[in-house]
Amino acid sequence: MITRRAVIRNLVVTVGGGSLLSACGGRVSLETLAPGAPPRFYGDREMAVLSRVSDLLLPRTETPGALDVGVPGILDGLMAEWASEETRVEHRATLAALDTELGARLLGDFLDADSASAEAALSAVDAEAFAGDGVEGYRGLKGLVAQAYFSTEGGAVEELGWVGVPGRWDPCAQRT
Amino acid sequence: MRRKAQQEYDAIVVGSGAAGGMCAYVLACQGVRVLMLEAGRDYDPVTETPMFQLPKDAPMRGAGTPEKPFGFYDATVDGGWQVPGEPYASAEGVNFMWWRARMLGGRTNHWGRISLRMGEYDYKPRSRDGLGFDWPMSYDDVAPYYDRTEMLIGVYGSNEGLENTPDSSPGVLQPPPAPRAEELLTQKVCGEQLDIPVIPAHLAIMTQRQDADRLSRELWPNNPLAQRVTADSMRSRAACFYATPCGRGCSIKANFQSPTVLLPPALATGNLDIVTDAMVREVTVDAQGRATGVHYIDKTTRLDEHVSARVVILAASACESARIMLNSKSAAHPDGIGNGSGLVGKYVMDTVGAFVGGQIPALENMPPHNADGASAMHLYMPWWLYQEQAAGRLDFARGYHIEFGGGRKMPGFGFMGGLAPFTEGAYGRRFKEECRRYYGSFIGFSGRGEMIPNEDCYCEIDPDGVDQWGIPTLRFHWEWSDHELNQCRHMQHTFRDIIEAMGGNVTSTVHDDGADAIAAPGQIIHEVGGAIMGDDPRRSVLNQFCQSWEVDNLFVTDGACFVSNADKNPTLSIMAIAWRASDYIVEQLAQRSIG
Ligand SMILES: Cc1cc2nc3c(=O)[nH]c(=O)nc-3n(C[C@H](O)[C@H](O)[C@H](O)COP(=O)(O)OP(=O)(O)OC[C@H]3O[C@@H](n4cnc5c(N)ncnc54)[C@H](O)[C@@H]3O)c2cc1C
Ligand code: SF4
Repeated sequence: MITRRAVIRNLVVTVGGGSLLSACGGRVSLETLAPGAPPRFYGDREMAVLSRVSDLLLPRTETPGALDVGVPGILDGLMAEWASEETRVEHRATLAALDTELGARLLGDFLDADSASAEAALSAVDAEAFAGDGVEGYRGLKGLVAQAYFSTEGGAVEELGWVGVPGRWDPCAQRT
Repeated sequence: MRRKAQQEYDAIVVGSGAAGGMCAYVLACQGVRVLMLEAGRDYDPVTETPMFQLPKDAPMRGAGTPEKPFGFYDATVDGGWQVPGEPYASAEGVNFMWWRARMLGGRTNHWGRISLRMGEYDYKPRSRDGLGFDWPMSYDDVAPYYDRTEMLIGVYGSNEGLENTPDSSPGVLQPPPAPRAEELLTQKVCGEQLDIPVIPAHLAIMTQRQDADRLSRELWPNNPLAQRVTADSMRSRAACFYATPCGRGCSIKANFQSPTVLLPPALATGNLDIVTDAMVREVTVDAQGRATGVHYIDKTTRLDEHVSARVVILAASACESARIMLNSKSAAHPDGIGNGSGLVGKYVMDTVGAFVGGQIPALENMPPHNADGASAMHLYMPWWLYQEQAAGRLDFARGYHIEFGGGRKMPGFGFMGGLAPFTEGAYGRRFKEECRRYYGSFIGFSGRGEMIPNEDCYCEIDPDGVDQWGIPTLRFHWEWSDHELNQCRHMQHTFRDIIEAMGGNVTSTVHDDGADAIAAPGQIIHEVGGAIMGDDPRRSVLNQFCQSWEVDNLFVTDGACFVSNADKNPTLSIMAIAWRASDYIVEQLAQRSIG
């Protein structure tokens, strides 16, 4: 099992790495992709695959889905502005391998599959990855999508129910 | 802040963090003309703190990077595990981690604000178990300064009357905030099943506004100037509003940072000048070897400057102060100023650290509630096995306290990491449900233990290293003893027992060998020692007032003077000891016995 700390460390290593841009020199703001704007990092196919995977992982329910809060655009900005070359190469390879693997399981193009079969294929890839094999880098990709989602207001407040109440401290938790 | 050093100064203070800030405040309040030299840049928490920015507005969603290890919004605007152009080395096989904040206020801008007093036993450890050294003073000598420091900076906590866990005087502490859900559950389980006390933590965070009139009068009887500047400063501080991470700093001044709490009143006396971007290279001496001032590099011009004063006070952080001393070589002090004993740089200590994380089913699916609180922990566990230890039933001599936390904090980057293993295979609606279920059910326990000083842990001037200013750099040596490693094993087993008693699952590895669990030397960022105090000039560098045995107008008031490193986080003690030393300096200056 991994600790939160270890994950943060991994994240820094995988997304950061030595050749990271400087974070200290002035205020860099991460631009997310405006609707309809062309991605800066992903190719069309990559963007389409990432968007479909994000939507399957975190669809719109009573609360916003990954596409509603702009997860693919967030990751595009992350890769374009922040990732080291090594991370970019690995991330591309993961997306490509995932695309190929899903295509093989579905006996056709992943993007053409209906939601039920696409989700079934992804779940199988997921299970393999968490069992220790399968598509390399897949767990990291799933984590990135989820973290991007929960770092938005839609993900944190609407979906997760994170409450911030500035001004007073009233935890309202009873001893059981 | 860049006022050219112009007038004559009574005292030069090197460094503006906990120790330097406290010395400047106490001296300036008593009419001593002080020049503070700070290597980092000017920094104003009131205008520069990104208190309300959300992770979504930061690069990498605010996650840590090599340049900002504690996240994009961390208050450490300059410095970190590495300072560009200012390297240091570790001996072979050693990975010493040295955190340096290069900015006005130093590490007090980010620090965790845990403010525990060292107790009676902690000042006399050798008398209790024959290891390490006793301090030249006792807890009772320092107790009034703990009271004063807590009154000045604002500390929440409670008096529990526990062994070697001192109470503050009445009217000193602020009320602690109510515990969070996971803290209550931990308290209940530890109390009922494991006999581990879980009590309010002490943190330098204000839960209410200070009573400026009362406190300023009690702190400075018969000193109208000090009363006025202190009361004004207290009135400008608000109480915590429980919503923003303290590590970013606090623009409403509810928590303690040197640039919000110590420097403004010190400046208001008119007795303090501060020059930032001033990297001190060495202490200069006269023919008799007495301190005359310091040389510093003006980082904006890269020129070497000199300033003079009657007294030089080093407060650049423990190892930086040792470095300045070792680099201050002269005919009178061939091995570095004040280093006749050869002990400068020796007996560096850090805190022993180990961690275990867990997931607690009882905390799953909690109803939405605000769990931010005062950003840091509300409860903690002080060391509870003094009697076991005294009876020889443990295989390590000194104790540790437990810091813990979890809960429904603001989700940021890294947050899903803990969830991933629990949500494998989950997609779509079910994945969302799983995330909601697990959110807030993770908890982590960190041990913070006492390390016993030993001969193998020291820093020295690296024969091959200089920084970008041409100043020789440090090399660190390190060796843990079995006391620390066995303590780590005990921590790990205890944390596992707590998690299991809570009905939870351990999510990180529990090591049976402490060597696999122990944090790297320096990693806990509580490094102290390097110019230890004592009552024998042959076996110590300083006396109990942080005064060099050999150079009576040289003082070292930061953690370098520490003789032991109790499990209690060091900063409150650094400030109390610095205040005590500053009162002594005022006395000595008045009597003209120094300077
Ligand atoms: C993440 C983190 C969490 C922490 N949590 C806690 C906690 O909860 N409780 C606790 O007690 N402690 C904690 N600490 C430790 C605490 O910050 C330090 O003990 C404390 O700040 C030490 O004070 P200091 O004045 O010795 O050093 P610092 O605060 O580091 O200040 C030293 C200053 O001197 C300056 N300086 C250095 N060299 C020179 C030079 N040559 N010339 C001029 N200026 C120089 C530096 O730039 C710096 O501003 C934490 C630290 C960190 C980083
Ligand atoms: S939690 Fe309170 S003390 Fe800490 S930064 Fe926020 S308001 Fe300030």
